[in-house]
Amino acid sequence: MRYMFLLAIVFSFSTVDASAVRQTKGDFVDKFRQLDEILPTPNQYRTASGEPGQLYWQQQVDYKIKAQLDEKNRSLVAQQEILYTNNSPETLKYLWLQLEQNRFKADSMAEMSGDFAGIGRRGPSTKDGSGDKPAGISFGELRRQQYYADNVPGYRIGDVTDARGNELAYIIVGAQMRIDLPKHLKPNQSTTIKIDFAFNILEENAVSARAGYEHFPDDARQGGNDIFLLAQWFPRVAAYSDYEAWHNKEFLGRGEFTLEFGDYEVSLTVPKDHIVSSTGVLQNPKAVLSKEQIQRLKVAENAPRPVYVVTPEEALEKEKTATSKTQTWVFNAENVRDFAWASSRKFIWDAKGYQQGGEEQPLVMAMSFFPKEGGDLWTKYSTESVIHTMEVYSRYSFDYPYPVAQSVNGPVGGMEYPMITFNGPRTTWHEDGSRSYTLAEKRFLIGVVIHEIGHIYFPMIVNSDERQWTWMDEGLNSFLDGVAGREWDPTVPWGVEPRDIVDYMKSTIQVPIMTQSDSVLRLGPNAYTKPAAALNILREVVMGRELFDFAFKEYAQRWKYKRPTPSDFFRTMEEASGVDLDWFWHGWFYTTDHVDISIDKISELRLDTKNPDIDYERRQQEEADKPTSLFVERNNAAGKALWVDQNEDLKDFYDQNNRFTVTNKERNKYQQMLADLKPWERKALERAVAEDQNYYVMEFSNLGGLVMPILLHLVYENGDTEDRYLPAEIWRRAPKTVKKLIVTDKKLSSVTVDPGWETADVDIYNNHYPRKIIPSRIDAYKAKKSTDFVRRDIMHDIKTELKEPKVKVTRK
Amino acid sequence: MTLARLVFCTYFFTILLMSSTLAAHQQKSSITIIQLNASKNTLEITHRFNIHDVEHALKKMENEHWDIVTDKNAQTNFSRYVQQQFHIKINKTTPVMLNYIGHEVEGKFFWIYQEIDITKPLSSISISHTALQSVWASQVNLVNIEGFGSIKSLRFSKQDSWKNLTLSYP
Repeated sequence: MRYMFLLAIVFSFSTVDASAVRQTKGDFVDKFRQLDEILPTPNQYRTASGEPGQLYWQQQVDYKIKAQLDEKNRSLVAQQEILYTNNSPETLKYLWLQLEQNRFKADSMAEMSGDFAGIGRRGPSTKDGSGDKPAGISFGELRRQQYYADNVPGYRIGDVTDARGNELAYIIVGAQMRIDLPKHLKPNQSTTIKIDFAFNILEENAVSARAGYEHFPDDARQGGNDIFLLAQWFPRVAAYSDYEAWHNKEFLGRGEFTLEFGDYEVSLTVPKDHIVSSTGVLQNPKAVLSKEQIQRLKVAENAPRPVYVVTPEEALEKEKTATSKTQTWVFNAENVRDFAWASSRKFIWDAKGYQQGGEEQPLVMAMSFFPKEGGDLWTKYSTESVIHTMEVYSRYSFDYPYPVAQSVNGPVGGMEYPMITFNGPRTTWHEDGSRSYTLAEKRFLIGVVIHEIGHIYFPMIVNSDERQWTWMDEGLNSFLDGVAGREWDPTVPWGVEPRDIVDYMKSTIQVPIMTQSDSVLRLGPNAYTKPAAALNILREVVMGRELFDFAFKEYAQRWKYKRPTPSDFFRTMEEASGVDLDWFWHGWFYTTDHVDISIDKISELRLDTKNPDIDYERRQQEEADKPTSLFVERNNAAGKALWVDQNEDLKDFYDQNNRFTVTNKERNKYQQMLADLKPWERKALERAVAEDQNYYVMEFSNLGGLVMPILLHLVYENGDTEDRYLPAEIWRRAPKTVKKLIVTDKKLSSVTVDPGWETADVDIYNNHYPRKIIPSRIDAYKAKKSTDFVRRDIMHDIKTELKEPKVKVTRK
Repeated sequence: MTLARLVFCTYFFTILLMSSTLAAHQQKSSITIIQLNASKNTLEITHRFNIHDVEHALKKMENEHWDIVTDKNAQTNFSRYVQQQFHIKINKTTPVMLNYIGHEVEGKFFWIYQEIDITKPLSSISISHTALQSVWASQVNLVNIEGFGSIKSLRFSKQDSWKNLTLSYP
């Protein structure tokens, strides 16, 4: 008994529901329960409509940085001045800063919590030993270990002082730093902090950072050349918000960055032959660019195609030599939440003005920076993709507000910063010196540029909290890059179709979308694909484009240059569209349910006229339509003579009148019934009898748990088809099974649920009534013969030389 | 205290200086469906990889540039590679030979098809799925087993070897 008691206690603890409101009898589930207890209580900072409230505030952090790039030693030395303005109603005693470079130090939480051979680990692979198999370490991991042994990663922090040069007390905790303020910083006060720092630039390919250098040993110049991508390169003040105060959750490598907006003045001293691409606007073009380059930039403003500011030939020439001289590029950026830059003598540079119009930023310079390895692929598509992205995204949000939008090729696969993105795809070098690219690589380049430039809108301007909610920028952005991609060329498989996510959604291994980034098991489907598919379904199926697009744009505009949370998104989409979406947010974002709606049964019904002369006749016909008894049939076949036929003389009344014979008794009853009806009832009955419609009752069950609208495709016997939409609210009082009556003058022959695969329904088989034999994917593959000419490798194969066929020598 | 052995595994030699670039696009995950085809008495196995992952993985594995969308050799190579990385034991026997049916590129996915004839009722299935995990450590392969009551899922990360499931027919 004691055991039982203990067990019971443990069990009850493990099933404690966080929700205060629970169904404690029966198994009814209210799929349409409002998100009252789940969403935070609205306040003066964030309203119930999902808007910034009257007292909304956010901190302002301005930076002045002077940085010197030491190309030979691949290190950076910098002096920065931070002007921190406290717009919050609280008094601050200290500031928290993020030191992401320390994430690569041996004592960082990211490194110490790295699980050898563990899951979700970024970077080179390791393999655990098992049984008699030895553990494995790859060349890549070895390189990483050796790299760390030879290169000291992380920040070297020098003087930390106030504006007058008085030293400030600080403590470094892993990849974070707390600076104690000598005088408490009251609301609406500002303070200045100066920090000197330096760090060794990491080799991106060795350690898998989001930035770093890439070495090109084969360049003509002795010792080769480098591309430097600098991001997370200065101590940045952590965000301080109304809903979380200090966002001092340490960088572990995945959950990206939560930062404050501010203005930047940055001087970058680099080798004189380098070209710099950076967040911001170049302040001293005359000092760092040639007259010709300035002229070319001017021409580019109105050019129909990108114009080279640095041509491939000029870049190739620069690759051959080196200089010990330096020059300083100065960039200013206003109202940005971060700052990144790239520097190399290898860069080819092209530009094209995007004449956006409007008041805020009529001209945006779209520019690309890439080495010869980017080749034709970049010349043709990078800058054009940047412009296409702005054209599409602006329609769904707001005009692109910055003066430049850039795409830079380097060692990073794809990463976004304000006004500048790093994109990886390149051409392939062939032995004859030519370069080509695969069809897939072309799609990667266009796709990744759209995606990363799209990130300048979300989350660089609509500043959602990436560390906490990766889906808020990746999900929204994946949804919109699909929109932009389909406007580029709909034959290319862009974006997220609902069908792409069904195999993930039906699996038992997943976490809700609303899970903190570093804890998500599979970030791809969880933060990118599933939320993007959800938004796609919301737009195309649930709300319709008009309502969705209006609400989505409202969200973007409300939170432009501000910091939204998930509830602000959920509330705005609902409030601006007038569509109750609590059920949708709850099902898709807070649970791991999937969609599986089954059509189980259809009953065909006919209205009784109540008139015995009609109804009795019908009953008689129904009886006659039943199959005759096999017994009787065989007796007939055997020629058995019947007693009644042999004894005609004994026939009576009941042989003349069967049980369906109508008498006046029934007719009188019918007439009385008609007489007792109210006039409107009599009219309705008469009309229904005259129309003699077909009535069908369809029975559906919800097997996946996620409630969704039921999309019906009806096929009639006469060949007509019809689509009907049953809103998700049909499930509100019966979340497991529902019935629907359909009245039609035609005879129904078949019904399909979600024929266009628009709702991510995981089981297609039970979507058909009557059931159909649906070939499995393998059956379908076996049946089809591949004749796909699109997949031929033409670009390279076209250079194949004609060869004499080899003659087979046969011995006599 | 025992010292674990730490050596180079032979197959790592084919992978020259692996790097793992971050791509906001690369998914580094695959999905495999093992589906009972009751009418034909077969287990149908469908592997789905993202083209983006496949082409970059091939580049890392072979240190050569392959065009997965157009190059039949690249497709065959990758298909063979996956077949070598995916194994099944049925009813706790030794790994069974899987019949190779084919592979294809469709949209943004690369598909590989395999099949097993079922000769006696299945009581358990053991699966090992290490595809791409030697290329990048964060590769996750998800396997759904369908046709035996409610869907069951197994998740294969770098450190996993065999995983076992007891099966019962609905």
